[in-house]
Amino acid sequence: MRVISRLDIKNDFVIKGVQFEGLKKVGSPLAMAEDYYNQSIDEIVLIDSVASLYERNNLFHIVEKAVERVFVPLCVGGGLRSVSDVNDALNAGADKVIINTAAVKNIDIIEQIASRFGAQCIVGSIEAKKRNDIWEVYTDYGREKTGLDVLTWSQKLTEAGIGELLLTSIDNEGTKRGFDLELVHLINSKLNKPLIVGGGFGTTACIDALLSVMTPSAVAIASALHYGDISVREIKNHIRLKKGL
Amino acid sequence: MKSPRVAVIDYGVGNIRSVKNATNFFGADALLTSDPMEIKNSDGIILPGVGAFHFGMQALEKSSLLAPILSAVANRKPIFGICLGMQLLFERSYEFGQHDGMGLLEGEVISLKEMRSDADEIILPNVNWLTVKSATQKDRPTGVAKLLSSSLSNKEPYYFVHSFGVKASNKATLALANYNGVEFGAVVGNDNVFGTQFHPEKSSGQGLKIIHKFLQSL
Repeated sequence: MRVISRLDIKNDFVIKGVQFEGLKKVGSPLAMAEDYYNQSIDEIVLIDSVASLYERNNLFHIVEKAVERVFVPLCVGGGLRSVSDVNDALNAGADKVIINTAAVKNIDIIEQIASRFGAQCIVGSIEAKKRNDIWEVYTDYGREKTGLDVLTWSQKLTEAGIGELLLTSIDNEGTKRGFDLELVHLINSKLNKPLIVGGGFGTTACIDALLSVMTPSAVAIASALHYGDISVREIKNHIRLKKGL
Repeated sequence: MKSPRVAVIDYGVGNIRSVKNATNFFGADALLTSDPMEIKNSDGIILPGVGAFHFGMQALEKSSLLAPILSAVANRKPIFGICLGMQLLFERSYEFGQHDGMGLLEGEVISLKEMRSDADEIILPNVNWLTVKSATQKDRPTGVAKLLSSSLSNKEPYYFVHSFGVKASNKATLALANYNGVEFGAVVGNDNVFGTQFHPEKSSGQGLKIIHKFLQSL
């Protein structure tokens, strides 16, 4: 199971909130990416948190600098709307792109990216919020409802040709109270692609709870790392002991 | 020491900037190039690439790079294939139909699903950090292949992302990796031809070490 650090970025600062709200600055993207790399992180996700609003991704200059010193996979998302945007992200040095809002607007973009660059470079992203007994898909960094059901949508994304799925619980995001295990179980039961579980990591107990449901391909962690509650090494050692991996 | 001239082949397939960054990290004079003369004048070749096999072969042919690469390798120039670039070194692939490769190494490229009978169980692509295990070979490797094998870690993992893998001859298999019970060629080579299924340029210090060794060998 990979450990991914997720850096949400706004105006050249890493920011962090709770349930995508009350965003606070927590540091510089380059310094933090390099720090996590030196701590043996498996992968780094960079998300432009305001890009969908402005209809463009503003991270390429950060990506170009980061890949000079960070030699693990880098995944970039936020505001990528066309094959040409994806081309620019990959040229800046990204290994994969994350697509959410653009796919909800037009699912064909997934197939277009896959046929041009290969499925391995597309991470489909779902931001899910629980409403009564179902989870609804949100876009634009948790701001916009779509009326789409998460399970149906995850299958649509898979059929369209994503290489991986990033699943984030908006309800648990930033709360450090653990992953939304019911949501994870629901999506995983029907998924045949690598799953990245995000939203809610607080302590190693959250990993234990997750592993009792399933072993995802990866976990995405933000707050607990950003605020120094735990180190990458501690998380990886815990997983190694737990899984014998 | 004079820094070696490395030709990183630019044929429009995937993220080649990272490969250049990794070589630059060691002060090498790496050139992203699609110029046959640059290939001829280089000390060594890196062939990167991601995506489908036939697109890769077509792209090499279309940019008139296949013949210059083959001729350089025949003249004993070292070549280092990465991911798809490594798969292209082999005789053939069965990705989207049967397609011929460069035929520099003995073996073929097949879906990881077809390497196992209970194939439905396996999730693809294989996106993972995996350790590699040296293969038992009848003939010990020579040349660059031997040198680079010695820089492999048997403890630290490397970053893989692929759905197809190589089944190489014993002679060409330097190290194996195992994904959910499916064993495939992770490090391959013979003499001046070398390749890794994983991305050394994305595999932290243990990956950079292999690239460093390659540069030192030139």
